[in-house]
Amino acid sequence: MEQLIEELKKQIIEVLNLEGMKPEDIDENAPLFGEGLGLDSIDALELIVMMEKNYGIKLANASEGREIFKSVRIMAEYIQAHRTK
Amino acid sequence: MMKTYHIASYSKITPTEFCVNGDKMLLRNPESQDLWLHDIYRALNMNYPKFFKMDKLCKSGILAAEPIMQNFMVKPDEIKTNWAIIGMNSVSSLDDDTEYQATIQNENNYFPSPSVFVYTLPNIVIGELAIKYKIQGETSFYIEQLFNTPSFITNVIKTFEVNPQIEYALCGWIDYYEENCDVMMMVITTHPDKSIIELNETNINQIYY
Amino acid sequence: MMNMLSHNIVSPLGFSSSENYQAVCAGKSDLTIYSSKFGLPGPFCASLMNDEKIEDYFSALPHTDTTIYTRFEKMAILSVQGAVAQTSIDLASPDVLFILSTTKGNVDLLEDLRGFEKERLYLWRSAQLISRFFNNPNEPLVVSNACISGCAAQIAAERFLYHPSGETIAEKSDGHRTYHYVVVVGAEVLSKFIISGFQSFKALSPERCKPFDAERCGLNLGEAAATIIYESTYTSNTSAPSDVISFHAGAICNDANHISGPSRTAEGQYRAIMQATKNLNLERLAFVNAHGTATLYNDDMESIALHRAALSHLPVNSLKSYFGHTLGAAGVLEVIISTLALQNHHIIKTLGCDVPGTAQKIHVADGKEDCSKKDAFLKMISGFGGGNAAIAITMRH
Repeated sequence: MEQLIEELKKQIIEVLNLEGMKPEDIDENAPLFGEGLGLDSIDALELIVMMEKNYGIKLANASEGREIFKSVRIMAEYIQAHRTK
Repeated sequence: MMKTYHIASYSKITPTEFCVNGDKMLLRNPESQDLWLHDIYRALNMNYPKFFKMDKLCKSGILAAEPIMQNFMVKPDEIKTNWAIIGMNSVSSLDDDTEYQATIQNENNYFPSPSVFVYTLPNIVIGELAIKYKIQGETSFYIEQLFNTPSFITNVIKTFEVNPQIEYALCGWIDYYEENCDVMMMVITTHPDKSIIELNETNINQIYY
Repeated sequence: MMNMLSHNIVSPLGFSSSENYQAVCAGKSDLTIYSSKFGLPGPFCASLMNDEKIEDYFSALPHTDTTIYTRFEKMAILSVQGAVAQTSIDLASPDVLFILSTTKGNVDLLEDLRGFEKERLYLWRSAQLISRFFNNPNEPLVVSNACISGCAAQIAAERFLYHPSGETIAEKSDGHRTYHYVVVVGAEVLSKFIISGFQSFKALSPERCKPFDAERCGLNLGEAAATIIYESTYTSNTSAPSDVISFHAGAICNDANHISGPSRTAEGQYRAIMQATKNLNLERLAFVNAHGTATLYNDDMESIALHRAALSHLPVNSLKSYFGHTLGAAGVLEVIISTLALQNHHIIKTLGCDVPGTAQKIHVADGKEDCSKKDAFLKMISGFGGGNAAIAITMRH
């Protein structure tokens, strides 16, 4: 799980163009949206693409994504349970 | 009384130079490992993380606007309803269009990217400028084959003439395609006390060409 | 001020404005679910042109040059031809300016040029080919301002029409001049590029959209080309038709909030409405034709804008469930249909809206409202990049 969390942080930084950030800068328990990294609706959509591309998980819409993207840890747990890649 | 129009500040970005008000601010370092646009960002000491999410057309517009808007950001949170933004170019958003096409070209690696798609419109650079500088006046974008001084001046002046509440316009030619950066931006105003030079064909030709 | 001289719509609902208007009045829509088209992996619902019809109509046009036109260009040319045929204007005259409104032009060529030169990817090149088909000698203007382009192009047109206000600095500029007629043509064709992009935004409804409806879940895309020929009020020497349709005023304002989502307080749209209706007696307004794309956020935003502008008592409609969202053509097409409705004292009902449910309560037109004493309408439109536009059109008998 910890390895997945670390991998996820790197992917988030890359996919969302979070320039200058390193994995250690992201708190896996902190909210990704609103406060925390302050991501927006386009970032949420891009994370949906990432879920499918890297883990084979298809999310139907942005609101489904919002529940899963609450924090890196919650994302990792969801991926662990549903990944097909 | 007839309005007079003045250039308050201007900047240019070419593939090798970044100039502000006619002075060379930065020359491209051929040894640099990073994008020319990123080098300019760092030289300007900017702190705007959103920059790195933008496509190159938007990046060039944001960079060109940064030094010329500084004098007008004394109250950074103030909403500017007396400002307009006018953008023009030749290639539209073709640079980003090409990048987006790559995300859908191969049916075995088909992952359309929303963060790339959102920039496949040339007016998004105007939107990014409006957000950064809190400009809620008229924003428009025109496409022409080549930069054309009379056309540029006409579009700018007409914006002022029909919108009497507009006192400033952030305007420019913002063209970016395949590493070729051809950007000229300026703040034009009806206030003579802000003027560094008059808005006329001679001055625009001198700046652009 | 400028007047509408003539107009034309080319869409899946017909090749003339009246054909399109009659289809709308009959409740027709060509929004269809396509299961595999443009090489897209899944189904989508859209309003697409019939290629054979485009070819048939186009080959019937008199032209002698050997240029091969793209589908996009053919639709635009057909629409302009349809509009000019109703007038006695010579489009080859230097007194005529062309303004093209489009978001993506020939972007489908990015996937495969299909023998066309790379230059055809440039919007200015298509605009040149379209205007030169009619031997127009002037460089056309292209307005590319996302979904508001069609209205932005009309707003720009007014600035290029002759107005005897005395010489301005602009007029002293070499190469600048004003014109007696402006041909505003808005056109858009769909492609894998455009549809996949909207799919990545999860913005599309799988079926025909439901503007303003409480259950709405997204938009449909559509193809169309629409033309309005405007003339300067001051040089108009055409014999007066029964109604004179005037572009009263238009305005564009930016939200300065987000590049792809509207302001939650409808900042830009509210300001644009106030500017466009500044010198208009609001009692004249018969209805508001909204953008009404049927996305959650857009329709909510428009209801808030109308509420803030104290116009939510007016009947509101959306044409998106008849035509789909025709992007660069929308602002022109929807003004034409709304104009015909105004002239016929009719308010078009919004197909697909069963139970309205927007952030602020609005009066969604049911098509039975009486507007016989009204002679104006308001068009609202907004798009990516934070742009919002509003246009007020008036009619004089």
